[in-house]
Amino acid sequence: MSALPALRVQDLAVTFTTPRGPVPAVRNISFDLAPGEVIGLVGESGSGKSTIGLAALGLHDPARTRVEGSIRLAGHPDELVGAPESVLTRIRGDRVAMVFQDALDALSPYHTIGAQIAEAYRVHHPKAGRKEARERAAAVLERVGIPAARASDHPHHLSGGMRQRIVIAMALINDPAVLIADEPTTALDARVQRQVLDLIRRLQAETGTAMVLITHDVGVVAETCHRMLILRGGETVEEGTTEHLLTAPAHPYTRALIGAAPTLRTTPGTRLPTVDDPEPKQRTKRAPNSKPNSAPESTPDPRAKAGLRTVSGPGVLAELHDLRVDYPGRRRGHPHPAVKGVSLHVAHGETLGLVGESGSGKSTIARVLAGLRRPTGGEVRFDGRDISKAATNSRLRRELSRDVQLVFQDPYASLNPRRTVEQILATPLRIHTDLDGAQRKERAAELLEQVGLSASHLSRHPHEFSGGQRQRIGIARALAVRPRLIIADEPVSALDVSIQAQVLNLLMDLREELGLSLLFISHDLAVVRHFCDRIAVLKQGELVEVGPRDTVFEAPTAPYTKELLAAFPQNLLPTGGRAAQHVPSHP
Amino acid sequence: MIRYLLKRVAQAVAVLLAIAATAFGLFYAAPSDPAQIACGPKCDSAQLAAVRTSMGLDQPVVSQFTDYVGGIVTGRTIADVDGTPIPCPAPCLGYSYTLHQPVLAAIEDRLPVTVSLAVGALAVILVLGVGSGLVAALRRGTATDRLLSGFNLLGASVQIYFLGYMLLLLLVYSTGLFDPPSYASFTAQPAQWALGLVLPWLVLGFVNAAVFARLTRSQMLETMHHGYVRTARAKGLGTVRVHLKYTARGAAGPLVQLLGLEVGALLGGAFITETVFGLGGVGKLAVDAVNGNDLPTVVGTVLLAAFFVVVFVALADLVVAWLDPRVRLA
Repeated sequence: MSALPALRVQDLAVTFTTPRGPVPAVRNISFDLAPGEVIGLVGESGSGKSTIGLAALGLHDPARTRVEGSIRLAGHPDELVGAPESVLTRIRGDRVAMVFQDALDALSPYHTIGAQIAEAYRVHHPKAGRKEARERAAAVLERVGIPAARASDHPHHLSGGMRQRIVIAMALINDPAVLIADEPTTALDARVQRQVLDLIRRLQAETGTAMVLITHDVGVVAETCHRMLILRGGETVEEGTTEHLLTAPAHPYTRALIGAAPTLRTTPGTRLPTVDDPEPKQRTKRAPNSKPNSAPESTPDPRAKAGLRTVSGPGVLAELHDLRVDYPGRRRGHPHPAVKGVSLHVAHGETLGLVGESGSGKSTIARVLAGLRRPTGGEVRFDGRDISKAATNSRLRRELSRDVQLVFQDPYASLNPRRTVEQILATPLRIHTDLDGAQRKERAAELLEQVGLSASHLSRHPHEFSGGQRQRIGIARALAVRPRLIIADEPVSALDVSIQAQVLNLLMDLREELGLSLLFISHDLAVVRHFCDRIAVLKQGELVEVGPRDTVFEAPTAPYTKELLAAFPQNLLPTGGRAAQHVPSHP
Repeated sequence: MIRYLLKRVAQAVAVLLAIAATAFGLFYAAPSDPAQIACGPKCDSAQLAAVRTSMGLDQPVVSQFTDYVGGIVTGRTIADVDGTPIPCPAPCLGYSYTLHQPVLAAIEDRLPVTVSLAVGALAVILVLGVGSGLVAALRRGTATDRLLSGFNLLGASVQIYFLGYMLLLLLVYSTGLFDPPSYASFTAQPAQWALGLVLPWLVLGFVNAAVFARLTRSQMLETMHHGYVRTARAKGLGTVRVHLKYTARGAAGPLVQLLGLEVGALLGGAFITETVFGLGGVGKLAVDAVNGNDLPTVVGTVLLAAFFVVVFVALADLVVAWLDPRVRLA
């Protein structure tokens, strides 16, 4: 290995100048990237990980950003920090290339993929003709597993996985010495994520390109990187070899970050470690097997070893029978079926997990059950009552919303920015209860306390809260009218892992306290496994498997379920790294 | 594509029919009697009745309207006040008893002036509006940006007649730097043509440029935040190329649509500008027709303006679809 690193970052500091004064984004970042090495920059949002990647290419807007420190490339005499644009344009895409996260956004919708890839070549090979560039583009397309014939397609004709491959092809066409991959697989479904990650690893090994992998996902780093830097709030918390950090993390934040996301080995239903509380005590009675004498159904359940909750009341709360939902197709008379004959039920007090990739019909089912979408065919019942017409009958829908409430994915979009928290929480109370103003305020305060916020937050607006706090407000809103069923559609997938852990812990506590029935929708198998009693697996609008959690995860019958499980990062972690999760239960 | 075009044409025809019907309704809503106007103040009641018959005003409203619409499609013969038949070939927009010529002929006489005005004003709008918007976006937050914004705000807030008369006063009557605006044929005397129209172009363009400048600037700034612009920079493209090839392309859609509307409106006649500068275009024709109760000409010019707007809005949609492959024509 050569003595010179491929990329050397020293004392990097990036400050954003805002109208309210300078805001430091990263400070004191130093690392060396050896040729052929893969280093992971790991952190949550706001940790500065993407800022470092952009700084390495000089892609920050100089009018609004101050970059200090030093960034040097092997075989390149100039200092990159503060280098003129003419120097940087020669390096960008040639010596250092970047793979961006959201390929749909990262590719121009106006140009064909072939033209976009060929352009990356021609910029740095001005003497090359169009034909040569086209041939190069075709070759690199084949390398990422896309037929060269697709070169004349526009990005919107391709699937998400293919688009990500295009972005990778574009970055690799000039054989860069350093590749910076910023969350290259985050926006993808698990199976596609696995394929793209495998591709990146294979190409990295083949070309010997040194790589900086920026991610929030410890699982991705574990499989890919030699070394990692744990970042928090713009500073390095800890750094070392992947193996070392996963097995013997020194810093509590590293431990929390590694343990915060449930995995396929976490004991379901246990409290997840959070950043403030990296090794939580079992808060309550919620621990499995922890209250053998308190409940009538206390006969030891052989399945309880894995934390299977005993579901309270018998009977079915919500039920779908042969549900079919069509969306209008591109051409009239050719509807697009989103749900193709699904039969499911949610029992009183249970949590049903609905798993599937994008386009599997998960959210459509949620909308039907909430009375927001009229089914094309089949039966929908809530508490025995036919609710299939709720979407078109506003009285029925209003009655249904008394009993069924939703928690949404995006905590930023799902709260009205112009209303105070009190107004947000009191609205359902005004519609559904006879409480007067003072009583509504009292209930709103009580709800906030229940979700771990305080009554003093009532007069604030949503933008004053962080993502996790907003999701708590969304949960409080759903709880306001004491609904009998809560539909949570990807409630944690927009959140950072440590926040996700907090919100999942909160949901588990509330479920226990209030005896909630939940329909929990997620693409994340580990989260579903951790949180749900029964699991339904959907594929392209069809139910491929449904059963108790342990059956589905330990002895899946459908090939598709097996495929999903196989694609999930298995987190090759030796036991030590996971210690934080296996919290012993205190009776 | 064919299907889309057919659908679009059908829509356009429906819009034009609705406008024609509304304008036609003016004949009856207006407190004046077209026959009386055509016949003149000295008519007695017998003459008036004869005129009314020869103009077809004794027919039911609906059949008059269908005659009118039929005339646009197939042409028709119109009776003059005294009953002499006047041939009016398709597309016949009626006959002006005030101007003593078919409405279409009156429009054709004046259309070159309006088209010349529109073309020049459009050039000014593109340079001043779109151009300054581009510069302001690329130099956002600088003094240039603020200066251009202020300049454009001035254009948006000043009235055509104020600016027009001020320029006439300062540049023509006080200093004699320019000749009074006039129209010369472009084919016969191109230099005269340009010189005679430069003041109206500047005024009409400047006043309309502000909205384009603002839209260009905001569209550019919005598009700059797209990932594909960053990708283009990460490839190693220079700033100017990135913004011309990627940012401008992304920003173009709404601009093209607004431009289509603007071109249609300009071709329909720039009423105030033509009046201020004494140019005999379609706008002036329409204003005179309104003042003189010349209802056939009013309907004709209204219909023409609507026609241009409908056509250019449709063209703009086609251009947008061509610029953005994601747009589906349906």
